[in-house]
Amino acid sequence: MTADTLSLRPRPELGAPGPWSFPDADVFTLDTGLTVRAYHLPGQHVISVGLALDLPLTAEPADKEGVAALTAACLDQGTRTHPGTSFADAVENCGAVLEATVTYAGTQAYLDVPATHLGTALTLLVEAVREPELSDADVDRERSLALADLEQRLANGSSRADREARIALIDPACRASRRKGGEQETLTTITGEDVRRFHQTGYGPTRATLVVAGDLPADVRQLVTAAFGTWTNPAQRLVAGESVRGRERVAVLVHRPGAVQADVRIGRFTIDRTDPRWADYQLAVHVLGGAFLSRLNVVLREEKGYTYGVHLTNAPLRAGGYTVLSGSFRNEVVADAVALAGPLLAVAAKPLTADELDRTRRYLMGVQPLQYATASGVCHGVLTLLSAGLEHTFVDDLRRRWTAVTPESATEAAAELLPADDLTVVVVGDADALEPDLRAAGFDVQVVGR
Amino acid sequence: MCFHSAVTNLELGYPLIERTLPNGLRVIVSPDHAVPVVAVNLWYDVGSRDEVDGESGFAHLFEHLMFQGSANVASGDHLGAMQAAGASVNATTFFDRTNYFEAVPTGALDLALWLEADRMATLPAALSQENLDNQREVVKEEKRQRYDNVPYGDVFEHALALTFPPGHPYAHTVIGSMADLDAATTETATRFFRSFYQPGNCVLTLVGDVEPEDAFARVEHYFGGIPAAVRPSREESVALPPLVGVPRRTVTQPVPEGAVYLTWRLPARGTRAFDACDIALDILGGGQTSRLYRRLVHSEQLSSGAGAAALGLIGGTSFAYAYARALEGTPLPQLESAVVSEVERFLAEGPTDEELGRSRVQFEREWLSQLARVESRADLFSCYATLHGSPDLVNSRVAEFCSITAEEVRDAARAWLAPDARAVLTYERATEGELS
Repeated sequence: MTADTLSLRPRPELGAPGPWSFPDADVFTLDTGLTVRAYHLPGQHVISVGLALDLPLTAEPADKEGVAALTAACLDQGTRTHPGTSFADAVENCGAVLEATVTYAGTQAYLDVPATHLGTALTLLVEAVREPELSDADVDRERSLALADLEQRLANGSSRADREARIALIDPACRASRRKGGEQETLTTITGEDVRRFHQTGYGPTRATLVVAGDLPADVRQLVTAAFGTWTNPAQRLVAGESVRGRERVAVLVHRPGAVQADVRIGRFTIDRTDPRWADYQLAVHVLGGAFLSRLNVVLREEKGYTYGVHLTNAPLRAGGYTVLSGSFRNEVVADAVALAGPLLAVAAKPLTADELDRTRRYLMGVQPLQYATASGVCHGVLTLLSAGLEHTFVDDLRRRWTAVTPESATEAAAELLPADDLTVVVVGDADALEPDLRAAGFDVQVVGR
Repeated sequence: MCFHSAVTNLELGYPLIERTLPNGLRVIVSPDHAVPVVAVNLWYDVGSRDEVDGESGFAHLFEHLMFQGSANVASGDHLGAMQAAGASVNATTFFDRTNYFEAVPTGALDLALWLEADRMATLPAALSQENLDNQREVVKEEKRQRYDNVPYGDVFEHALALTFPPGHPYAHTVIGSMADLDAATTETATRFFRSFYQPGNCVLTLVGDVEPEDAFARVEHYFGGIPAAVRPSREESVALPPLVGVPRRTVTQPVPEGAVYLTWRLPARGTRAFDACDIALDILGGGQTSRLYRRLVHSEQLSSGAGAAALGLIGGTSFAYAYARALEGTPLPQLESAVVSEVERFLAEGPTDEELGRSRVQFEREWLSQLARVESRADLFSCYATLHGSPDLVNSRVAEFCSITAEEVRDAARAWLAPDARAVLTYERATEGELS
């Protein structure tokens, strides 16, 4: 066809999505107690390996918060077999990348490696968790890097707001109200001995899971057994996680002098994935602030031009969780934006519609095949579920539960969990510029840091 | 040590079929039936380098306008309809291109193609002063959020201005100047659209659960009726020589720590000399095994972070930088001379065999990881078709990169990364009341 003049087609109808379910795993347990979950994904030539340790941050001594993250940061700084920098060299020389991080529920070591080097990479991973050097010099260096990183984060409005929101929403008696990496007061006191003790009593195969995902070689079981089969730790002690609790509503304005924009967080302590209302609530939250055309974004971005984007998200922990609105707004419109947010979240006044729910359901179900199409996606997804105490069957179960959600059940969940008159407000910005407007809009903010 | 490759002969075998419609639209299809999803990816050959004086930031503002509706699509409906179909959608603007992409369940492919065709064909029909004003405010919020309200957020603005001469296509940032955006009108937006948004200036790639013949038929169905237009001409790119005279700029800001950035000009991407410089910079500053990290962060503990990287650009000249952030008040001159001395040592010695081998296997893993996702695979095919002529180069890219020799790396580093050919940007930590 030559196209000298414009001729367009009518808008097509949406076809049905193809069938999909979460990939199956080959699950086996080593004699040491380590559970292995192997996901074979043809065509995924970079293998992702994740090791999840059941080591919640409640295992940290109260005056040594940050020791779990510091231990994780030191794992690749040398092992008995590969001392000092020769360990990182060995990892990178086989094309791998290795990192270890902590969540409130546990420590996770993560590795990506081309399939041909899986065996070598697995032996390096087990070295890192079984026999890291954790020398005083390594701990001292990583601690000063962690302190510098903390300072950088506090200088960033958005990171600062996330931190202040956790403090404002979670009972201060809970570990989860404070940074995973520890605060300055405790971090500065952590010694090499603290880190070695934490490793000795915390790292072990009991209740640990190894996730391997990708285009797996036929001998993957042998490779895993050869690397991990002798990893034991008689000194490993198991510690219970915490059931996180919320706190009373507050309104806080954290002073960040000279900021040209304010980082706003509005939220409430809510639920985790195991709550029976989770499917209803998740859809409701997405209608309110997850989609591009969400109730919040349509008004605050597309109609008002107040923000680059505003989101409402759930932050589920293993037991307990919170829901938070996040957005950055220029100083002049902050009070108006915060005042608009409450009514926009009020579902009792404007119940969720069947159309809103259908759109949201199709979105959440449609993006999952893509999210879990890669080795990295599957491995990270399974690690996230493990840290919530769940297995991958949760994904398919949730898809079934999403289909049963009705406008009434979603509206009820949101009305109960996110009442618009009981929300905590945290604003991080220039208090001199923001306080009068916020007060005039009826927010009795407590100013911090001025 | 294991420097062996993950793939036979380093050649990858992703299938590729390419056709050009009579109106000039280049279409690339690469089937992959692993998951019932299709990645739809369009590269328009327009970026911030195409902005004329006084219109900086316009390519990016325009990217926002592309979501504000067209003749048959309401404002916001492109994103809204795609998300409601189970798709993830976005767009980005860079120096050398603007890309639009959606990854859709197979049943939503037609709708995605129709939406993309409608805005390619008819965007000005929906271009209103109201949409322009609103998105200008959104872009200003984006700039505040991503650059103005973040420590070191203006590093690229300063570094580019130091490295490229005034008025050069790469001398300004993609986000551009807010004063220029204020001057934008619906007329300038329409002119911009007519120049750059047309089938002959676009590559459309589909990767995923499609059969090639069926995919081409669908693309022809939706895009075939869009008239051809004259492709915009672009002045031939000039390769700039290395910098001379070590230009310097110091900014004083309330950053958590002082920092030093060294920048250089490099050859254009798509040349062996650029790849060789890229390897040199990776060895100097890519990750914790790199020379800068080992010395500044690990051994001497002068720095909380140090690294180096190349930013490949197609228009004659690319950009490189190395940086170090001070730790607990390390004097910035000491930091700079430590970086310079590591660069000098590299120029004198070249890479070791171990370093070169590591750089190759790490590149291979990163390349394979990008290709693991259908969305980024589609983006790479569009990229290599737009900037380098053929998407097939994606399959041979690892082999090409791994053929660069130690001598080439050393010689390219000597030619392009000499300390005399650097510019220096310094962030001094402001004490209270002292701001530049």
